[in-house]
Amino acid sequence: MNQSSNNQDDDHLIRQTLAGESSAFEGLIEKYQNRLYHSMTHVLRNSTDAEDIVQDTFVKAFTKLSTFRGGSQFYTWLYRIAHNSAISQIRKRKPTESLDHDAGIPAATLEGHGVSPSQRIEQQEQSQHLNDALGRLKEEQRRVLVLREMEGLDYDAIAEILDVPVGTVRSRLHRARTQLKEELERQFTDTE
Amino acid sequence: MNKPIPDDELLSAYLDDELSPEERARVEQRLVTDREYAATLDAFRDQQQRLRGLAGSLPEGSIDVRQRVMDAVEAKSTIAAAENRSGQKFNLWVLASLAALILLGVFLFLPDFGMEQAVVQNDLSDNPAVVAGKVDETVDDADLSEENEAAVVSKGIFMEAQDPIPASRQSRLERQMASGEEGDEALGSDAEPEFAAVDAAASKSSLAAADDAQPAQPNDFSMKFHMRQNEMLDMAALAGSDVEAAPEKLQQQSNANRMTRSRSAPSAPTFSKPGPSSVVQNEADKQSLRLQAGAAGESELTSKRSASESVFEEKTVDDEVDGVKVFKQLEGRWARTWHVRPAGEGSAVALFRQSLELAGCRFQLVRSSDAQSHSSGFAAGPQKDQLAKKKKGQQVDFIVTATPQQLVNLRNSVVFFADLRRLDRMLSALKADEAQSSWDGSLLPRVNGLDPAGDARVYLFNVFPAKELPAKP
Repeated sequence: MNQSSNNQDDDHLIRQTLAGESSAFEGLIEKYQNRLYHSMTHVLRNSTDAEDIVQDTFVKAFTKLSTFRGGSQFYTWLYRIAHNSAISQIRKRKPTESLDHDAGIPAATLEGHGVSPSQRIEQQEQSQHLNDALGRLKEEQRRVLVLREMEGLDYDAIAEILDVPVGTVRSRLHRARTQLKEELERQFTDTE
Repeated sequence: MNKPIPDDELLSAYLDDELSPEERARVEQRLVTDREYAATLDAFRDQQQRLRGLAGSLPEGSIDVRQRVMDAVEAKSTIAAAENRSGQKFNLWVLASLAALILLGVFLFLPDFGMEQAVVQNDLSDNPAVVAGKVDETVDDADLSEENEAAVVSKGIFMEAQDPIPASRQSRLERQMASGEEGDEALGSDAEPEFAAVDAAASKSSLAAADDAQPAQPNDFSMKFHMRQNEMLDMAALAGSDVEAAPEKLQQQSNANRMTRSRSAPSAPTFSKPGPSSVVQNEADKQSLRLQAGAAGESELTSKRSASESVFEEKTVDDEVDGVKVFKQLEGRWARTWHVRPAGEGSAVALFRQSLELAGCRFQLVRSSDAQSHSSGFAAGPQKDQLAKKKKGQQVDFIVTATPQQLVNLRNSVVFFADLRRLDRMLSALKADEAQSSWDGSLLPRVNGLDPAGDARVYLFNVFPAKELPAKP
């Protein structure tokens, strides 16, 4: 499905929702909930929190749907709500929670077509290392990386979500990549 | 002029294909000559692939929040409807209060104006030239006929502080006012006890203050009005804690009490907050208010204090809690409504039950499928019917007898359960910018405000499991 027809679908569902057909909103939820959930899981480092945020996000989106002007993609708008909720969530966290903040991240399941059990374990370990390194980044660095690498958003969309200039996105992204590279190298050194 | 982008940042943007042709050329030129620069690009590229792979791999278990979101949206619209209704009630009450104040002002100032004329007239009466033609407009002290009584009473109030009218010259109403006996009728003591959830901390201090109460100033309408509000709240709290009282007796007394108070009066406002202290006028009033607050079975009153889930609700419950007869109606406690999705084998009901057990609370689980859901009480019109139909049979009530300490224990045990915690957050999401979870934000501060060694009270917690009610106890 190309971007244009995707947007048209969203617009149609939004119009139906605003016209009082709440089941249309369920269509939007179904379409985006898991994408948002996975993204939030990486941002928040906790799947339970991520699920909460996703749920809150859709509730807020429903109530504020009439304010969505269509100037950006629906998902970008949705993500911005989620992003703001996630920030609140992170601020609410007690400092002690950071000690086990990775506990809630589900292990990635790699569909192993033609992958041996040992290879799968190795891949899972690598994923875990990457996850750990990601978890050690600053919050703002992790967010921008998730938006770029996992969500595949361009700089303009990221800037809109984060409410920062494009130049800030660029520099933040570069710092995040540099930091992640260092974290991965350090991890590699530690395991040697 | 735009600041040139540092080469390092250009590298990252190059990877993302976010550069202009000129910038791109600049990076590519350096990549040829700078091996370290090229190595960094490779590292970034590798990192990018790994991150995308991580995103592409599905975390265990997808989610489906559709039902929960739609339930929350429905609950939110219900709350909004209730807010509108309560807001309207509140506005009406404000208007009524203003009207009463204006009337009071009219009573106070018009006769006083006449009285001042009379005084001036008396002062000047020695001057025949001034007095001529004015004598008929003065108020004769001896003329205390029924039609002048109201004006005289007002004058008495006005004059009381400086120049009390001798008892022999006071009307019946004046004497009542001066002795502090007025108020019940004027202040609407027959108002239905439709008030918001009781702030028990405030109530407690109010009750303590009631023991050494001082009579209120009879001419302070506003003060007495607030005092009466607080009394009612206090009494509701009292009734709520007095689980051993016989409901039948209270009912009889309440009915008898109501018969003696036939005069209609404005209802207490839905939104009310007890003041820092209150003064209970006398034991008779205290008792009558207790009876009113404990009146059972006449109506199901549901109101709310805020957009959160603090709900005041009266519900008929013919049951016992650990052998103790519970009021037919429960008052003066915080009710909390939880909408919970089914959580595998641990349903919301089961989880909350475990929490109660952990906290050491006494509780009775009441299937309220026969009662109309309180949610329907919030809604109005077609929405009400729709909600009533939908929610009927899905609500479970926990009647909980708990000390403040046990409530804290309950709170601490509840947070161990992810589903209930999630629920807290969901509810807090309903309040747009609420920073705290609803539990922490509304209930806990009140619990903390109580004396940990305080008496147990009865609370009502509603749970709405999405499926599978436990077996009827």
